[in-house]
This record gives sequence, C-alpha cells and structure tokens, in this order.
Amino acid sequence: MVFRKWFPLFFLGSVLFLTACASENGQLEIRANGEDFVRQGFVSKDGWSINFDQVLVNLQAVTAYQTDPPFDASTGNTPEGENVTVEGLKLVDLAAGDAEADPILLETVEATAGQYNAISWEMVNGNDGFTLHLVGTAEKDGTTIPFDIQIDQTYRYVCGEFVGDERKGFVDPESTGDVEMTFHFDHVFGDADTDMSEPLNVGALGFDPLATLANNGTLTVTQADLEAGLSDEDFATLMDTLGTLGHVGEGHCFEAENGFTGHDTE
Amino acid sequence: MVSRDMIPNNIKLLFGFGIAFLVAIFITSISEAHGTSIELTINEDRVEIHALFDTGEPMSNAQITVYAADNPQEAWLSGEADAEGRYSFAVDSSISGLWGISVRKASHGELLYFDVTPNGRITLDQATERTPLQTGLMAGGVLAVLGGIAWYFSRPRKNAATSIG
Repeated sequence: MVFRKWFPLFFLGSVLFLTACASENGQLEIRANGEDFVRQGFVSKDGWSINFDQVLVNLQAVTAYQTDPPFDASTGNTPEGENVTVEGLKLVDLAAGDAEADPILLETVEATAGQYNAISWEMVNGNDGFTLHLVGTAEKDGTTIPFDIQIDQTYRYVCGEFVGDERKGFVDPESTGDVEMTFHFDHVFGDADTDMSEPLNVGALGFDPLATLANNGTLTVTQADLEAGLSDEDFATLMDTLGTLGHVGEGHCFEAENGFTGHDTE
Repeated sequence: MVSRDMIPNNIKLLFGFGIAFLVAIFITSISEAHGTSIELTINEDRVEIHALFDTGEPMSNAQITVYAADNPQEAWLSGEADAEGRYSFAVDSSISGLWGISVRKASHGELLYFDVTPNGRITLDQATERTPLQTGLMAGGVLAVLGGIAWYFSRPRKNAATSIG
C-alpha cells in the first residue's frame, strides 16, 4: 500500500536523476588524418611526385583521455584519467575521399563531458598481415613507378593535446567534440617545399632508395624485402621515421613501443 | 683531505645551489616536445616565452595563441614571436584556472600551460607533468636543502667548542 502510494514520486525522481546523469555525457568523434600529403600528393625531398591510391593503417586500442594536469607526451608515460576507447581492430584508409576530404571518422563514442587532451593508439598487424600499406605511384623525370609497400612493425603512440588552428577535444553535455590522430608522411619521404637543410628533410629517407628496388618498373615490397634490399642505414632511417608518423595536429607524440624519438626527423 | 674549515663553506654552497634549483624549477618550465624546446618564465604578472627548435634555432615569428582559463576554446590573445623566438604578455590575473599557450611554426607546435590561482598568483606548479629530469633536479634540490638544514642544526656550537677546548 505504501509502495503504491509513493511509486509515482519514486518513478519521477528516478527519471529526473537519470536525465541529469545523461546530460553529463556528450559524444566524441575520433578521427584519423593523413593530411594533404596523402589526399593531394606531394613532391618528396628528392624530386619524386608521390600520389597515393590507398594508405591503409590497422589501428587498435585507440584511447582518448581527460588528463589533469595536461599530459606531457615527452615523459613517455601512458596518459591517465577519464577515457574512452574504440574497441577492436580498425582498418582505415587515410587516402579515402577526394583531395578536400575531411579526416577519416574512425568512430563516434559516448563520452563524459570535459576536455579530451591526450590520446594514444597502436598501429598493429591486422588480419591482412600489415601495420601500414602504401599503394600509389611515384613519378620523376618521365619515369613512373607504381608502388605497393607493406610494413609489419608495430608502433604505439602516446600524445598530448591537439595543436593546430583550433583546440580540440572539448565535449560539452549533449554536444559533440572531436580528437584527431595525425600521420605525417612527409617525415618518411621529405618535402620539396621545405628547405633541404631543415631537420624534416635531413632525417627523411626520400624515395630514391626505394626506387632502386623496383622490379620491371614496379615496386612491390614487404618490410622483409626492404630490410634485405636497402642499406642498413636506409632501412634504419625508414623504420625510425615511421616511428615518428604519429602526431596530434602539429604536436609531436612519443613512440612508446620501440622508443623512437623523432628528434632528427621533424 | 678536506679541512674542517672548508666543510661549512661547501655545505653552504650546496645549500645555496639547492635553493636556487628549487626556485628555478618552480618558476620556469622547459617543455621539450620533439622538435621544439620552449621555455615559459613567470615574471611578476607577465608570462615570457622563449621558443626554440630542438636544434637550438629560434622559432622566429612563431604564431602564439593564448587561451584564458574561463574560455579555453577561444583565443584570448594572438601574436607573433620576435626573431629570437621570444614573446611576452601580461596575464589577467582575475581569471583563475588553467591557461593554455599554443606556439606554432612550420608544422611544429606545442601547447603549454600555466595556472592562475584564485588569489591571482601565476604559477607553473600544477600546469604540466614534470619530466624525469625536472623531477631528478627537484629531488636533488630538496636533498641539498635538507642536508643544509641537517648540517645547520648538527654543527657544534662555538661556545660549546670553547668549553671543550
């Protein structure tokens, strides 16, 4: 009898409580960005015009964090705090869409309101046996080399807050914020638009060493082929620069799996 | 062999260094993301930035954007560093909380932080995680100060030494 009397009040209170709780949450879009280098192509430091058909990456354990104090990636630690994770393995084509396409949306997740000012992710061997798969063409002085390059090295990046034209990661109740994993492929190939004395170009491999491995005008190689075919120095440069792919906008990440620092390859 | 007369001076020196270390670490934050080495210094109500690439080259004309604690998504102040990579600005100390500073040039960038306490004090204390180097220096400074204090209270008193002699 007492229960029946108070049930409507109890029910109303529960609804109000749940509504209040729900309003503390918003949504967070987690995006991956290969930048214009991937979407529009670019000229490498050694003069190869590179265009990508596909830039496939296998991503796992993508996690965005609210850290207080703000996370400093250079410590090499793992961020701690309220976090959201994209479950499972995700195969992403960073070259998808046209030249003006938005960064690739990996997933939209429910997220507690606040600022997600750190992110970490792994690039791992996926079901296709690669971490990173580059497909495209390189052209120089009338020579065109179609390339298909597969890398199977695992990388884990830990990063602080996005650095760019705007701040990112803010999730307000019942609104949507976004965070971004940015991949800097100019670290690998260099950039003809940047001064050759800049650390970016000094540390980059370029495309010339890869072109020498082409067979019948086509370059189709795995990481093992690259290790066997490139000089020790060039192979080490390639692997080290791949370790510096991970950024948050212009902000540098720390590669925590292998300890690549990226100090010489900005 | 170290003479007895020298020991107090050495310890005093160590004590002084310890205090200097602690003061320097509390008022200065050097942030070394890959590619950049940016120093923030608090000078009364001003924040001074010295932005370098990690090659030591200044981030000349770097784009500076300051975000106040009460509206962290909108620029509170925008400006440009000088040829030496230096920039400074006066903080509105009535806006307490965590402030952000974006320093960017040529695809290199970093966000740095400082706090304004409710009583208007500008501090770097809680703004960023300390690197192992900073933590080590701080621990060294604390040990030096504690050593100095221990020496101070354990040293023989002049009048006691006289009576023994």
